[in-house]
Amino acid sequence: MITDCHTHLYTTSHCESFGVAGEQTELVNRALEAGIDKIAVSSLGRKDYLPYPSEEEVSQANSDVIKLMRMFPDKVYGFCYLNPGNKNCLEEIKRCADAGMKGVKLWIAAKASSPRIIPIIEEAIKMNLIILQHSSLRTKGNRKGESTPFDVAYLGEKYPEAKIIMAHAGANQHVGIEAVQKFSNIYVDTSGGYPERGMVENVVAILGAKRILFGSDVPGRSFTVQLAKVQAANISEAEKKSILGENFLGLLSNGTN
Amino acid sequence: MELIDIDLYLGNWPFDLGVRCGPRQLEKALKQAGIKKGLVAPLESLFVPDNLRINKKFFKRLRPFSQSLLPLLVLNPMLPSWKKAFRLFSDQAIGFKLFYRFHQYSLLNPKLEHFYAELAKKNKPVIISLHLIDERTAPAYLNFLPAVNVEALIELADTYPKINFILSSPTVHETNELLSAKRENIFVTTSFLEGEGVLEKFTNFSHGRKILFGSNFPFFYLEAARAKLDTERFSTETKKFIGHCNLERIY
Repeated sequence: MITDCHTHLYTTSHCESFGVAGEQTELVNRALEAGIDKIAVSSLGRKDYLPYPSEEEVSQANSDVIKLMRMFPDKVYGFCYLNPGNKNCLEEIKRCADAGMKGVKLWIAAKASSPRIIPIIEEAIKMNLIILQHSSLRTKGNRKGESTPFDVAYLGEKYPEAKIIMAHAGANQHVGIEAVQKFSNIYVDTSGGYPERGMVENVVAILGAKRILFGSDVPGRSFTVQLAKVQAANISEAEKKSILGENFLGLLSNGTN
Repeated sequence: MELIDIDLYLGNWPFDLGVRCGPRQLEKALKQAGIKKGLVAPLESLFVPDNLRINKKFFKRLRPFSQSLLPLLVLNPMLPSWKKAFRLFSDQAIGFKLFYRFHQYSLLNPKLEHFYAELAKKNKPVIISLHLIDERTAPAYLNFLPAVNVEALIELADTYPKINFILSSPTVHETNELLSAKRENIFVTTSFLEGEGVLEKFTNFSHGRKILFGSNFPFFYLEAARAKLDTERFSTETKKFIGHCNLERIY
């Protein structure tokens, strides 16, 4: 069973740029073609990826995901996108969780160390939702509100009961992984970067294979290319199996591996 | 599917202990990934300001692997020694590779007119390296690299219409601009092209005749490069063109 913990709905901008069919079923079809059985999906906006979406834009985005979950109940796990700056976050989490979503997706509207996200994290813990937190460590400085792995580490330490996935393994595998190493409630996903040799091996060496989840960050990335990062890695078959599905399913079922 | 890999490197990358590759290892890795042969450049040439010693060592090192590893002649035209290196190695080379960002010169420098005239006489492709790593999170030591200027690349192709320029590892956005320019002598490699639907879009430009297979190994996985073509979304003919025919047509 291969499960991708990090995908997004196509935006109209993607569809226009790439000439992709506008139907969101395309996302699921492409995953299945690549040999991926299930995908976790969030929408970062209908027209484009929106870093600071309004309440209405968030609601639209999440409703699109709910629609896809209903079309593919055995293929799609929904993740609820939130802007911590919006007042209705807790109502929106509840609406999404009631519809069967399994997690919360936080991008760059607020840092993981910001007090603004506390109510969201506490609600996610209460509802046993996974927190998929974007992170990066850019050489020339992060974007406004963009979390570094150190921000994620702060969050993991403050809320040891939270189930956190640090997206893109911190986007800097050398520094990012060490930043979160001692917090066992922080997992990382493989998504987003180019298929750099040694990335997965490095994460396995530092965190162990049980704390890595396969993620692609499609449609900005490709299912097959991101999958090859794990399949071609110089690690054991058992470790690959954990990364490609078991770890995420473990998180979904009981909160830990 | 026959594949010739345009974007291969030999040597060590000083910023990552995992990025290193000798010829025997490279040959073995290609074989395991089902890639018939590839065009190889030495990584040392990025950092050592010398046209002669690096190339001499490199061509000698690759000689026993001539069936699978095809050497590219890396020239730094800002050093006078390029002429001697060109004289000594250009006939053995499958093509030329320029690292203008690392060697810090402008491709449109008017002083390079003679250099391009000499390259054009050989009727071999000139491969211009655009990227090797994800520069968003690269070590800060590499901040000296100037930004890629796509307009300048198009102007270069227009200035030297007899040279076929293969632009190695452009990003998705750069590729979009390069292919939209519809120049006959501009080609791109697949190494940095990713995104669901992206390669399909670019194959629509000239039915894939402008795209060449590349992996960016040992930085990236060969298997990931292959995975881009191992899909039923491309016709067998398109795969053939990208895999090897486009390169063969350039000569």
